[in-house]
Amino acid sequence: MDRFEENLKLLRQADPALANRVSGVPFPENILVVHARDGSPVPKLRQITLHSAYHPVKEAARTVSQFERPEGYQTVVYGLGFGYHVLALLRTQPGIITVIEPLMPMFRAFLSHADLSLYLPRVRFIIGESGTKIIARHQGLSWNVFEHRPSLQLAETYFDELERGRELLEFLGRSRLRILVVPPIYGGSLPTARYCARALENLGHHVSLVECERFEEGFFALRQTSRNKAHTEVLNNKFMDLMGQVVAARAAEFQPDLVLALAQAPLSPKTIASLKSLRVPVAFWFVEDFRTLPYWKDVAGHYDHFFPIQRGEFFEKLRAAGCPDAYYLPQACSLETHRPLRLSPEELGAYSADLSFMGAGYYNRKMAFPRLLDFDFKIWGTGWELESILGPHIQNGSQHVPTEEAVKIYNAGRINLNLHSSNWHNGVNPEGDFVNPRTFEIAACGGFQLVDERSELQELFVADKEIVTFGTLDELRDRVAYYLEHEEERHRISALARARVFAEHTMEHRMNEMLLHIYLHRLEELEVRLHGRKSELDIAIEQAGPETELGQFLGQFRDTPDFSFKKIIQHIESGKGALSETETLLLTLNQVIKEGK
Amino acid sequence: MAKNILIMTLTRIGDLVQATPLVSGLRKKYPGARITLMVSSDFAEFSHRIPNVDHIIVLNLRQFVGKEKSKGILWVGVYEYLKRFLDELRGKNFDLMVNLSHSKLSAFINLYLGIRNHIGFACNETGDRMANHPWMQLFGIEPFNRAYNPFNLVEMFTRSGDVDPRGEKIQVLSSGDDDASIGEIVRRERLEGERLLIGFQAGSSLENRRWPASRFAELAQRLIEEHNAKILLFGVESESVLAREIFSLTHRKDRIVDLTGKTNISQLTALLKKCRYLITNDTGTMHIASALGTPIVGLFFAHAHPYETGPYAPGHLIFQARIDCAPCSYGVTCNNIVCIQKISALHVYRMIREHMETGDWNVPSISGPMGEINVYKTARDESGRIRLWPLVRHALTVTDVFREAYYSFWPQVLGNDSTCPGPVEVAENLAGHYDCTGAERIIFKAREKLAGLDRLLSLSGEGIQATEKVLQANSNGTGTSGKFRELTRIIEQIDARISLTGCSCPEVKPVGDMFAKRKENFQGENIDELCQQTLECYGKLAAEAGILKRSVSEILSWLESRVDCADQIEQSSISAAVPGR
Repeated sequence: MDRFEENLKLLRQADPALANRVSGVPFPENILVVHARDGSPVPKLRQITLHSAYHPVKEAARTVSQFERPEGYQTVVYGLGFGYHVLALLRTQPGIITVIEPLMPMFRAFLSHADLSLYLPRVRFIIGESGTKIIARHQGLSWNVFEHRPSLQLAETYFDELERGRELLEFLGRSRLRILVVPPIYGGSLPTARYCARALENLGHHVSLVECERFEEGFFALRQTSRNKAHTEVLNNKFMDLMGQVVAARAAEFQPDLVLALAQAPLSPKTIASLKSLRVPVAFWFVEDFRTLPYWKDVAGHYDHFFPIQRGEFFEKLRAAGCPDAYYLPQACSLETHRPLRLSPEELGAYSADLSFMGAGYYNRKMAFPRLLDFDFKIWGTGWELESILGPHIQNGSQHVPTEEAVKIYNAGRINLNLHSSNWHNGVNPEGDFVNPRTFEIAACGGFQLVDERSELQELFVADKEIVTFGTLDELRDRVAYYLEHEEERHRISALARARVFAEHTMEHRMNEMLLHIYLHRLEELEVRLHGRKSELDIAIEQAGPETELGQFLGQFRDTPDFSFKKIIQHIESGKGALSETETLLLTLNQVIKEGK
Repeated sequence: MAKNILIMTLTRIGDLVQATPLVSGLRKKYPGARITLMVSSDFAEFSHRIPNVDHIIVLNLRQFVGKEKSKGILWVGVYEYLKRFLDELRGKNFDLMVNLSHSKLSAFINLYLGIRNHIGFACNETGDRMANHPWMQLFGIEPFNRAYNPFNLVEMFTRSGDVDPRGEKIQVLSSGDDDASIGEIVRRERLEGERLLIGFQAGSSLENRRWPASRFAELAQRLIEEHNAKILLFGVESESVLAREIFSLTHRKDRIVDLTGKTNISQLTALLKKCRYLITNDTGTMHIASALGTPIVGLFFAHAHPYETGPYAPGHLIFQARIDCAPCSYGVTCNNIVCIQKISALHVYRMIREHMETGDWNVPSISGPMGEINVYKTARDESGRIRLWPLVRHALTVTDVFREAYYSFWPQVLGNDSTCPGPVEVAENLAGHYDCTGAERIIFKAREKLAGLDRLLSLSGEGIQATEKVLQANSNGTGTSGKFRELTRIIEQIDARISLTGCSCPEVKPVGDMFAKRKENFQGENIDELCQQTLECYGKLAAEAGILKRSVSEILSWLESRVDCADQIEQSSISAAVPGR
């Protein structure tokens, strides 16, 4: 009996994205299903029988009987097969069990033969996903791993890399990398760069953010110097060269372990090459639509790692452009910035609306929004025409909205409208793929949103449970009307969305995933590099001896950025009360240094 | 009764030599005590020449020079060394420490060692500076009142050990090996039989303090031509450049011996003893020679101030530019060094020639213009202390009056020393060494300065009143925190006005500064105790202002009664003394 359709129905409820992925997969021809002595179906692939040919159920019970589950760890199973061991674990282990199976065909075959109802809702299936992504999004350090040996034999490289990834995650957690972040000079992606820098710091790394925005005025002033396009282009190129030198100078001084550029960072191929001479990875997070901003063609081939927010055909184009490595990395939010707020009555008065939109006046939005003017609808952002029909709904004279204000808007609106931009559609882009940062930001603020359907969205949020989408403007209107009447449902969905963001979609998650991907095959190199370059504080403590008075005294500076001897003296001089012996000696030493003895 | 004394001097060879009377005095005062001298490695070799010392400890920080690129973090290594060094010192259980280095480094070392009785620059347990002993407090305020300081460091050091400086001498030990150590040099340079060996110390620690090499060369030329002198050029290796310049500018090169960088302490000591004179900038070599009895012609430029660091022995000669900016303050960088140009080679030569002829330092009749030159000779005064007596009778200034008044004043108020000259004697000295013709104006200006002392007196009264209010409020429990804050604010304002008085009237600034210095020593948080200490401070301020006023008044009265009143007193406010002078 083929249980596939029945199981797919169950799967659609539990994990629509996975259901969608497997729905189009035919039963694999290379998996042979044999029946064990006890009648249980057993898959066989490449001469490997995934379970006992006699009693797979007994075998499973036997193999899991010795498996312990320490407190505070989640059970993760490497390899699915036909899940007998998973069922055995379900009988002996409480809580959720995560199953990681690299082969989608195996899962397809499993769905044909297993009874999924025995597994759901306690089993989370992760099928055919990159190890880096799994580790970054599913707390790779707190796994208690059960290995299904036959599955490991089938995908040895995959599981080896998974373990390497965990090892790397642990190493990164106790290491302090020096990361140079190069943002754009201006624009909507500038905040993303700042969030990246902060997230990397929160992960314990030492970050230097090049302050490119200080050159914004000069950049625009140059553009206005001449009306001759050719001249302007020359000036622009010269400016970019200068910016490249600025970045190179900063890198030379900072000596990073990694350079991360974002969006339209002012890095020419020449500058990227000079950064590479530092012998560190140079990565680029392209957080824009590759169709709208084609400059990626000039630079993608020069970076060591390229992280787009879109997949599919873009990956092929990147390969054609000579990009050595591309890895999909969606946007995210910053929990420090995007959070629920308690707004004052004045703020509520200013920002509250039945329907809110915060964003630039792109073509499709200008075309779509007149359909919504019968709602209590407020529009914020730049590029809106005040004289248009939308005029009375446009807030703050279409001025730029600072981030802090945007957070208030997300908090105050009963429904936040999130329509991805398009320069030529009249409303929803049916081919829309990437997910904008606003999706995560609104969710993090606890705001309720209606977002247009995007192909990448289903993997990030569970539709109708964590997020509500619309495919057409008619659907949008219906949804607006419905959810304005169903406040509790709005709150419930918002809460789940927020929980999902917390669990998987913060900037810290993304940065971790990026680092895991970059260093997965560079762990030894990184270990050697960091071992050879311990922080001054670590060296000082090691040299002094961690158990000595000096070593113990220095321990308090572990979280001090840019630790130096000067910081010690500043700390002592700002203290109160009697000086300890160690402090007195350090002050004495300071005088020795000052007197140049 | 101290049994185990540590004397710390980390700065210069000169300080070591200038400390010898103190060490000698401590030896006499505590005959059974063990005296340890702590020096820096730069002066370790020389420190064995300091008499009355039982043990020498060397702080060797020079071992870390150039070690920046060695493994590990350098400062951690230096920290560990300091800890070992100072912990070892602690283990020696000193019961008295004398810190002759006026530096934060020495203050922190002092704190770490925790020796109960200590004299000199220190800091309390919270790292705030203090200075124990009134003479060390005076030492602490002296850099800010240099024009009014008549005391050599020797006297300040000696008195800080409660040792009487009268009759004390600076000393440097000779060694039996000294003469033998120069045997080769004597032979090679044919020094034996030379009748007139003259040493030149053309270098100095600071470039600005150096008399030009060309003038040394010109002087050498004259001494060689007129007296067939043989000139020995002393100095360290880095000063060889100067030696080469002198050499190149002198015609009779056979009469010049370049010994820069070529002598150790033994050889230097032996050769200095052989010299008839040492012509020198203000250097450690000068002090060594002075202690050995070699007559000095000292050249004091830039920050160098002969009153502070002149050779502390009789029979030496000092030259200094007499210009408004001399001596300059520590820390300034001059970009138009004129002081070194004021002393010509002829000035120096004529004085030496006069000395060779008469055996005494006198300004010969044909000396040429000396208006911008101070020339002093060192001599003991009647109390047996070394003074600088001007040989050029310049016009008396207000600064001179107050400086000499302080010579009498400080020993009296800081140590009840009545052996110092009284006001009349001070006035006589002034009249004897300065041109008092037309001094009425100076006397008048000096009297005006007494108003500064009146202000200090008045402010000390206000301070006493305010402090008594605090005491009262604290004792009868009526003090709220707001009231205490207000009274504290009032006291702080009074203290600020005391400080301001000194700023507007530099002649009385030393008295105000001493008051502030004493307050730095306040410790603890007990209000009653702090009030008592404050009252004592204000009391001393009042007493000292009164004593100084009486003393200066007497001096001025004496001068007034003796000087020729040919000029009418010009009652004008145009003439204002240059602040700080």
